[in-house]
Amino acid sequence: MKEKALALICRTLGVPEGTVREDMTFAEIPQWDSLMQLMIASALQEELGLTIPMEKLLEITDVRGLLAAAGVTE
Amino acid sequence: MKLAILSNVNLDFVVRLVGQHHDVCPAEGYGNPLGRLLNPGDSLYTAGADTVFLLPDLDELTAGRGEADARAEIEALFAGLTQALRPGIQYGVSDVWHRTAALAPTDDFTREHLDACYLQALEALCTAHRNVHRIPLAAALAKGKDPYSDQMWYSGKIPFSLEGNRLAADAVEAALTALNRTPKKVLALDLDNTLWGGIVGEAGPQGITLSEDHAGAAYRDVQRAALAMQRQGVLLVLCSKNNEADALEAIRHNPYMVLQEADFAARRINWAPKADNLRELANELNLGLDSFVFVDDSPTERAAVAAQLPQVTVPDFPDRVELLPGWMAVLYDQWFRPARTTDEDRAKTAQYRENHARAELEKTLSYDEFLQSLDIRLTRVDPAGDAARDRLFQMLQKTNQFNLTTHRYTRQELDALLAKGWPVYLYQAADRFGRYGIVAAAIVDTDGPVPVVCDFLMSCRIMGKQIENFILDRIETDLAAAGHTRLEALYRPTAKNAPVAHLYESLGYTPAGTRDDARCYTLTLRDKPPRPYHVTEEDPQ
Repeated sequence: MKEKALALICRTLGVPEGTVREDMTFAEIPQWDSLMQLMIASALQEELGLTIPMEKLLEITDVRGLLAAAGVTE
Repeated sequence: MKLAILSNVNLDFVVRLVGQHHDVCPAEGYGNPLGRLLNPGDSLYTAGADTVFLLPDLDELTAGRGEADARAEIEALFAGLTQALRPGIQYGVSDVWHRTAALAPTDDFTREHLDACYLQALEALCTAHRNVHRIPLAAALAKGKDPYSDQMWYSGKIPFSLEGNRLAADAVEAALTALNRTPKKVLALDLDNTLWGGIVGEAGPQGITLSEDHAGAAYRDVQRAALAMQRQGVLLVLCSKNNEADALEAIRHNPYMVLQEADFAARRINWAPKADNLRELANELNLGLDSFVFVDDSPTERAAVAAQLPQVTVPDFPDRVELLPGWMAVLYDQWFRPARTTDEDRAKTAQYRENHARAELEKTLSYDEFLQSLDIRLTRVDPAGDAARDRLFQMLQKTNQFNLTTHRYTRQELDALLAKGWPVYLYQAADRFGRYGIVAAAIVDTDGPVPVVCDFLMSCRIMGKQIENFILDRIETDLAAAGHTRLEALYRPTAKNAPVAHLYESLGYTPAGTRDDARCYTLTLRDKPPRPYHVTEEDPQ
């Protein structure tokens, strides 16, 4: 699931697969902004059925945090 | 072609998607489309947008209102839009989509009444103004599995899921294409397995599949679609490989024929290659082959024509008979629907330029009237309270567009400058649409001999309403009353705050070099120009 989520994040951002790694913060990813953060949450919901609680969504600042909030462990 | 996309809700992602392939004005706040259209100084005009798409969210427009008030809002939107129209700009306005089931119980048909009210107003506008077109957004969104998202709505006032944003962007691009292409004029139709099922040369004129049932009804509906197009001004021609006598026999005497012989502007029914026939038809009609759309069930025929006559449009033919009528109906929108009448537009544009001064004045008046009608009220809030301070901190971290210096203060830094007693202007805003909470903040650095407006930020919800004029005016008045003769203000350019790049200049400040990586501006308070705004300040409770 983690692989699928990371791949989906890359596709949504429009970057080559593998560009986004679990250890990155959003600040390190040039295409990332708050709008993309929301759209990625939408993509995770639509394609992988993963939900991130709304109150947490805009507080997250790194990929690890995003995966954790989406309940992705492996 | 330069496009501006406006809405009362957040369509920033649609703007981003469409902007990948087209020249689109960058998203700049949202929620105030009429204000922007009525403001002659709005960036969409200074950027030279020649195409403006307005995609209003009807649920948001009518939220919390009873039917009568909701109707009034719809009518006000279209009245304002009518006033704002300029010749020389093409407009698109979307039809009705619903992101939400009704949030509160309503009378049985209230929703339908409001939908009808909106659509009637849209129709009247499109009929009265040739440069206003309907954008069929509802149909585009209906193709999605889950185009709306409550989470996106409550997170960022974005009505659509990622899927919905993509569908909306597709619809915008389709509308743009339709506006800018030259419509086709001629629909060249095959007969066998196109306008009827089967081959007339083998089945005979009464043996073709054309009836009131099953596949026969599908072919009948294909003919109905073609006839409807003909009534809209499309020329129908026949291009069929048959003995002409067999074909005419069916056309003239099959009782289920919808299309009649006279409905065809010309025909070539023979055994010659279709490319040759099409050339002859073009000559006969005195029209270019580039105005032809060729419809034929046979992939071989289509490939031959596409190869020999690249100017002819050869759409793919559906492989199932039940899909044919729907496909035919869509052909009109795809290829034939007329868009702009360029010559008329040009004439009108010239006329507009002649009346420019008067038109500008009229628009300024109507913009003023519009702002007046909003009944904007600001209430100053003391930043000492916990909730206010939290909100101020949040605004400083999150505001990007209307943020002059984008200082991301830490909590300690913020507390420190509050403790110093620097003037902090914090405002709650409300207008007749609702209350916005604390949405504007400015901080004045009074450490040095000349006070400096070191932070000035506003939520994009309240941009474009001259509220910034009011706040700056208030700051200047206070500083003058405290004995200052001059003040300074800073602007630090970022990727997102282009909308405020010229704010201080437009308000009469003089550029005064740079300081740290910010542009500095100065104003002699005695020379302060009058500032327009329609804001009432209310006393805090």
